[in-house]
Amino acid sequence: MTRFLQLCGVAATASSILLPLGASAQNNCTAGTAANGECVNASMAASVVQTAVIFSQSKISLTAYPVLPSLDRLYRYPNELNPSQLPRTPVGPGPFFE
Amino acid sequence: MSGTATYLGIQGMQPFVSLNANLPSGKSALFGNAVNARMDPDLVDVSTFGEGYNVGPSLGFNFPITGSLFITTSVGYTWHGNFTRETESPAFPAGTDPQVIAELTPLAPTQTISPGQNVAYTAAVNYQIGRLTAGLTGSTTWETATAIDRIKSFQPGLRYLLALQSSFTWPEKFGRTSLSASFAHSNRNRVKLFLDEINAFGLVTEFLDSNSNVYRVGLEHLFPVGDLQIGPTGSVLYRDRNGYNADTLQFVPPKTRWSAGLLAQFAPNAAMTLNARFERVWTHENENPATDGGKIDPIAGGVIPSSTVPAISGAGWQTSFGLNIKM
Repeated sequence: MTRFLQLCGVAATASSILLPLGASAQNNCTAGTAANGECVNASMAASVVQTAVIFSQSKISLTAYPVLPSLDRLYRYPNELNPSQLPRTPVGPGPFFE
Repeated sequence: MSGTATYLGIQGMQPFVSLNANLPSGKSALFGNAVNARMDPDLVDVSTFGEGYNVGPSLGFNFPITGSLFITTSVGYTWHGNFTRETESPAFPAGTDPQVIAELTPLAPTQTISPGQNVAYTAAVNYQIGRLTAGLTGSTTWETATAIDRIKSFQPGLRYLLALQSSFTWPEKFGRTSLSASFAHSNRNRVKLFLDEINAFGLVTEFLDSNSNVYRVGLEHLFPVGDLQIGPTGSVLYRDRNGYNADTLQFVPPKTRWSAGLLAQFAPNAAMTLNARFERVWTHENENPATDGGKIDPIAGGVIPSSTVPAISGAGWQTSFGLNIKM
């Protein structure tokens, strides 16, 4: 039974890939053909592909510094709240690396 | 830099591949007060100051069910290169002996950050009927551990994102209204913890969930005036509590952010589009109290020194300009 189901799955997959290949050669749709035979809306198809690419690369160019909670006191407190504005703010590395 | 190739020769299925690269030139190590230039990612779109090279290949399938109904799936891998940043060092109280500061301050001015690599799965449904267009996208992002000087320090939890985009084009020349909404959630992070004398430090799932949920709704309308489209725009962002921004690995306070302004698009020809956005932004952060100068920390197993952060409200202007050229 398991083997029968596997064969059915292979047959269904192969037919879903191969059958449309023959059908696609019979039209002149610039952005391809939908499953129901209609021409695909070109601008919408381009938009959904672009959206899929953007979402699949959600963190490209977005790397930032892993500021851990233990460093929250150093990086979080806004300098406007310092009692004296004259000294350097308590953030960043030590005084020898300014 | 990015490029995408789509194969259109199969009925009902359009496979596509894409390669994206980020070639940064900015300074990643900021010293002294320059650190303040790094802003809250809820307020600025790009909060990064320099980073390593990024290369991101994607593979996906677009299934057009009808001419205007699409089901799209994709998977992407993002490789992040190493970069350096300034060494962390504690803030010393005023009047501390300079000799003590010199002894406690690390000698190495920079450390190497090895960001985690990402795998993201995306599924989307997009539909257009008459003047209405709507799309719903869901994505899951998994990330490997980030290392500092080759020691694994942090690994964000599995991240989930749900986004809705819809627009309605009004009859005649009344323009187009667009509504967008999104929700982001992350599972618990894994953080560096001292395990024992044999294994030293290792990553364990945090006891206290340090992530927050973020909700955002935006609404805009554009009126066409010849080649120009102009109209009002507004948005609301709500971050429910203190937490990491899973995108930028930054600790971000809870807040409510409102914005209202003007959006304009000008297309002098079919290949070029100019964009401009002017917004007034209002933010409000609730008080973050620390009783008796400390907060209970489950990981530390006790109270850690801390200060009360009062409620903070602010307002500002935000502008952005863009130029798109189709070649």
